[in-house]
Amino acid sequence: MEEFILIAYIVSLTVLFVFGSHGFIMIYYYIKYRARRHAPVRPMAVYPVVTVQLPVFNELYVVGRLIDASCGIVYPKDKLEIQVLDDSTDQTTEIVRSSIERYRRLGFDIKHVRRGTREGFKAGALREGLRTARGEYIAIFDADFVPRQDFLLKTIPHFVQDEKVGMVQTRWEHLNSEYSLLTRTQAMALDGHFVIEQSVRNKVGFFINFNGTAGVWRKTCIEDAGNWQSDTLTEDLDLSYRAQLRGWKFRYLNDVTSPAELPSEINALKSQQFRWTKGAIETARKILPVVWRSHLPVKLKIHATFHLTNNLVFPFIVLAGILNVPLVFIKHTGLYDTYFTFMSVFVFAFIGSFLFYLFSQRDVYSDWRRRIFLFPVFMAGSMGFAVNNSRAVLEGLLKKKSEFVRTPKYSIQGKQDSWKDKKYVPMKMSPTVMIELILAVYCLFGVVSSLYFLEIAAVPFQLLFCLGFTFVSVMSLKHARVARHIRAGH
Amino acid sequence: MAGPEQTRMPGSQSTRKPEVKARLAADPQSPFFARVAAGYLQEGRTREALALCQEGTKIFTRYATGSLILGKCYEALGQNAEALAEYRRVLEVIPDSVLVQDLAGRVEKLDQLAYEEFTQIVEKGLEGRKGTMTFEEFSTGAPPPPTSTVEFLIKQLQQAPKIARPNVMPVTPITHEEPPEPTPEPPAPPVPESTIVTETLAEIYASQGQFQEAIQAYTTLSAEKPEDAPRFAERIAQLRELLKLEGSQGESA
Repeated sequence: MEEFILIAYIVSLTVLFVFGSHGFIMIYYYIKYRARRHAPVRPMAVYPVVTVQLPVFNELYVVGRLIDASCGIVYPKDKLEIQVLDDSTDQTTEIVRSSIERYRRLGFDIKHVRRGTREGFKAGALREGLRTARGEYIAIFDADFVPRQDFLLKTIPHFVQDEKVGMVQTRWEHLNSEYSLLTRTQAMALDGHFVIEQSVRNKVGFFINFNGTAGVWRKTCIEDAGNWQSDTLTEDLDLSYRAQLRGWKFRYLNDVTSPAELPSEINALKSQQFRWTKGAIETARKILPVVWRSHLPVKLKIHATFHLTNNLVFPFIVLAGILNVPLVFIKHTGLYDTYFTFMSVFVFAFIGSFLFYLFSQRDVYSDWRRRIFLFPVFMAGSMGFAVNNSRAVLEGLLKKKSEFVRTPKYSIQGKQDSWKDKKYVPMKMSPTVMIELILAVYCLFGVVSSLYFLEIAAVPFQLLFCLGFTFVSVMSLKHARVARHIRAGH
Repeated sequence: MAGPEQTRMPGSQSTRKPEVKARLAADPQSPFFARVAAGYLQEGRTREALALCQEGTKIFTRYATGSLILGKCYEALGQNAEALAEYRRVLEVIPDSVLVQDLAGRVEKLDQLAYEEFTQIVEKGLEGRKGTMTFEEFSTGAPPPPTSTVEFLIKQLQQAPKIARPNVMPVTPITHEEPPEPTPEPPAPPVPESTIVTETLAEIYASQGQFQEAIQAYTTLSAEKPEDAPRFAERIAQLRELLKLEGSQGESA
C-alpha cells in the first residue's frame, strides 16, 4: 500500500515537473526574444470594410455599453458594419433594438441578427453572422468587453500589409481587477497567458490562439479554415489551429489592449474555467492527430501538444494534494527516505510557475512588486479550482457532450457595484463543491499532522491546498446562497 | 597607495589593461568590467567576456557601455536575438547613437532572417495542404473533389457578398468620426439617410466636373429649401452652361 502511494505520488509529481519545465522554457524564450518585434505598420491609405460582430445572450447589464463602445470605434462610417448577434430570451433584445434604432438614425450600419435558436451557441451565432457580413475583416467582441476607439486603426493595418495574416489578437485588459481577491487573481492568471504565452509563441513562430474575443479575422481565413464549428466548447481555439494548419499567419499585439470585465462571482468563474478546460481537451483530441501527421518541425509539434494539453495537469494536482497527507505518515516510518528527494520537484514546479507570473506582471505593471504578493493566493486558488477543472478534463477525455454555459456579466467596475442585486446569478452550485469541502477538511488534517511530526517543509504546500479548497468551497456555497435569495426576491 | 594614475579619467585607461584588471579584481563591483571584457573580446576570449558582462550588467543595469559590450559578445557567438535585446537597452540610455543604431539594425535583420527561416520550415511542412480542400479532407489526407471551372465560378458567385447599390449618390464620406454620445437622445425625425444632400456636396461634384450630378443635387436642394431656390436656380443655369461647353468640347475632340 505504501509503495503504491509512493508510486502514484511520483507519477503525479513527474507530470507536474513536465508542465513546470514547460514554464521554464517559456521564460527562456521570453528573455531571449524580448527585443523581437513585429515590423511597424503604416497607417492605411484605403480603409477596407470591417464587420464588428457582437455575440450576446441575455446580457441585460452590459449590452448597452458594448454597443455604445462599438459605435465609438473610429473608422469611416460607410466602411463599418456592426452585427449584434442576439440569441437572448429576455429584455436584452429590447435594449438591443432601441439602441440599434438610435445608432441607425445617426447613420451607422448596425444590424440586429436574431436566429430564433441557440443551435451551435456562440459558434452558431458567429457562423450565421458571417453569412451576411459585408466586411472583408471580422472583429469579434464578447458582451463583457468595451472596445477601444483606436481598435481597428491599430489592428487592420496588419492585414493590409501582409496578405497571409489571417487573425490579429489584442491583449485583454481588466476593468474590475481591483474588485475582489477573486478578480485580482484572475487578472494575474490571464496576464500570464497573454504577456508570456501568447507573446512568446507568436515571436518564436509557434501556433497561437484566438481568445474568442478582442481580435480580428480575415473573412477568407475563417472560410478557408472550415468556418466556426460547434463540436468543441472552445470554438476559438479549434478554428485557430485549423487556420494555422492551413498556413495562415496569426499576430498577437501585446501593446494593443481591449478592456473587459472579469467574472466576480465564483460559480460563474467555475463554469467559465470548466468550459475552457474541457474545450481545450476536446480541441486537443480533434486537432493533435492532424498536427502530428503533418510535416511540421518537431519543435512546433511538441509545443502545440503542450499548448492544447496543459490542462491535464489538474487531475494530478488533486492527486498530489490527496497523497500529500498519507505521505507525511509514510515518511515518519523512515523506510523510504531516498524517495523523498523527489519532493523537491514540487518546489521546482512552484518556482517555474512563480517566475512565469513574475515576468508577466513586471512586463505590464509598474506596481508589479505589490501585485506579485498575490502569488500564493493565486497558487492556492488554482489548487482549489483543480477539482472543478479535473472534472472538465475527465469529461473532455470521455467525450461527454455538454452545453456551452456562458459566463454572466454584471457591469461591475468599482467596489461600490455588486452582482448581488442582479439577475443571471447562477443558482446551481457546481457539483464539485462537496468534494472541495471534504478535501478542505482533509488537508487541514494534513497540516496538523505535518506540524505534529515536525515535517515543516511539507507545511507550506499542505497549507496552500487547505486554504485553496476552503476558499473555493466556502465561497461557492456563499455565492450560491446569495443567488437563491435573489431568485426568491425577483 | 593611491597613485596619480588612479584618479585619471576612465577614457585613458583602455590602453592599460593589466591595471584595469587589477582594479576590477580589487573591486569586483565596479564598472571596469566593461573594459576588461572588451579586452577579452579582442583577444577572442568571448565566453569569458560574456560571463564578465553578464555579471556586471546585473549590477549596472543602465550602464550603456556594459550592455554594448555584452551585445557584441552575443553577436560574436551568433546569438542575434540576445544581442538585439542588449543593443536596444543601450538605445534606451543613448537613443541618438548612430553607431548603436547601426549595430541594432544589423542584428535585427539577422534575427528577422532566423524568424523567417523558421516560418518557412513551417510553411514547407504545411505544403500541399492548401488549396480547395476542406478541413475534413485535409485532416484525413483525402484528395479534393474535382470541380470544373464553371462549377467553381458559380460557387464563387453564390458566395460573393451581396452589397445593395445605393440608388442615390453617396454622401461625402467622412472619416474619423467623433464617437457618438453614449447618453440616450430623444428620437430624431426619421430622415432617410441616403437622400441627404448638401450644398457642399453639390459644389464638390461641380469642382470634379460631374456637372450632371451637381445639377441633380441642386434640384433636390431646391425642393428641400424653397427659400434658397432662386439662388440654386442661378447656379443650375451656370452648371448647364458648363455642361454644354464640355459637351461641345468633347465633340470637337
